[in-house]
Amino acid sequence: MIRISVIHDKPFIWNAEDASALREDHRIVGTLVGCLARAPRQNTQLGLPLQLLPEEATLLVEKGIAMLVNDSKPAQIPSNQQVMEFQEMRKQSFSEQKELYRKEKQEVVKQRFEEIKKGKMSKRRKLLEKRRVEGEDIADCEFEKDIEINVDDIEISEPTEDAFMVQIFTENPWKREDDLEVGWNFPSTDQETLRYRVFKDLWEKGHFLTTGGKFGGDFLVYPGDPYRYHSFFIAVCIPYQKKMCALDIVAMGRLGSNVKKTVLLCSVNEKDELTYTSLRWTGIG
Amino acid sequence: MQVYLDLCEVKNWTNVTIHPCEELGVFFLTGQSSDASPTEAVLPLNSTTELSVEKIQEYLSNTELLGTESTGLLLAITDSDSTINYYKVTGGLVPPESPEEMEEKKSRRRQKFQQRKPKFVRVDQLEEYVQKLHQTGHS
Repeated sequence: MIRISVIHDKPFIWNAEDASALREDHRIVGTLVGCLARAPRQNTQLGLPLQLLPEEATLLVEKGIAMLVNDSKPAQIPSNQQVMEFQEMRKQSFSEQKELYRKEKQEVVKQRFEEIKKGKMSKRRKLLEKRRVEGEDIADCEFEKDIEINVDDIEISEPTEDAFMVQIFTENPWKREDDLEVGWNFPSTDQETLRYRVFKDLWEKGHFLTTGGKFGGDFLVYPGDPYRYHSFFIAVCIPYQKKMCALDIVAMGRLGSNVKKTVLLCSVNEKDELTYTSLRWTGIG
Repeated sequence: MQVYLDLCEVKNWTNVTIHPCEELGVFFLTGQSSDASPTEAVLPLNSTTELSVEKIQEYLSNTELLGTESTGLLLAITDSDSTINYYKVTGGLVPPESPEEMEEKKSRRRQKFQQRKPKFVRVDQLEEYVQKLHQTGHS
């Protein structure tokens, strides 16, 4: 069961596998809102957590795919036991890294052994030259003597602790009691109810849906994963009898045609059925 | 009236007819953009008219009674400066045109523009023009 972490009425997904599963298996996209640890000084590409729309969270709970957990309370101070476990984990990570580092360095030495040997020989030669100049009597054959040295003899320096990598967790790694009292009230207003019904219906029809704020609508409707397709529709949820000016129709239609999308007016009629009206601009009559 | 004129003279639509609709208090127009195109229904509206989704659905269901070949309705929204915007409304989910369809439409439009009959003739070319008309069988 996927955990949706609700923090002050906003649903988040902190687990990376859950976020992928939601997109691949359940067509729920959400929005990444976190800082990407490897590239922090930019916001073109963000990382976990994944923030869900209230519609997405409600739908997942309704379909039994996820459960809501209250995470609004601040983190607790770790117990002594936890501190010990944490330090133990760090130590183990360092020793594993040390071993990996040593093995890697050995490989490099093996590959460059000839170079290293040559370097050592020329160093020795220089030393002998110096001693000769200082008056020592050294035979010529000393210069050409081969150095007896093994690969394993070459020293590999040990890295210090601050050179090691440390894992920064996005999801809280400690096991704890889940607080299931969330007080989730979505949908409550008429507009929220309409939006949820439209979202659910379009999702059940097999589409991918994301926020439509960029195009002045409620949702953007994609025929497939948003990573691969442009959206086809801008869904605008309007109460069935709400009066709009004809100019509003012009505004919506113009917006849609400029971005090559159909504006979809979504409503619930008197028979409690969902109605969809497509609006497209025609260049010529 | 403006829409009628626009369709007939500017857009060169054929078979434009007026259908009054008492219960909704509006007039529908039907016509074709060319002889080869399917008939479409047009609803002239003022930019200040109030609409709701319910109203649009009512207009759409009325359109079905008109028996046009293409589904959906063209809303001709006119403004006080006599500009007309045509928007097509259809029931259901109608995806936008694919890039291929748009290319085709563009080339068709280009062809139509090139083939149009000239509206003005120079005085010194009048004789020639009249002869040509006789040849092609127009009066």
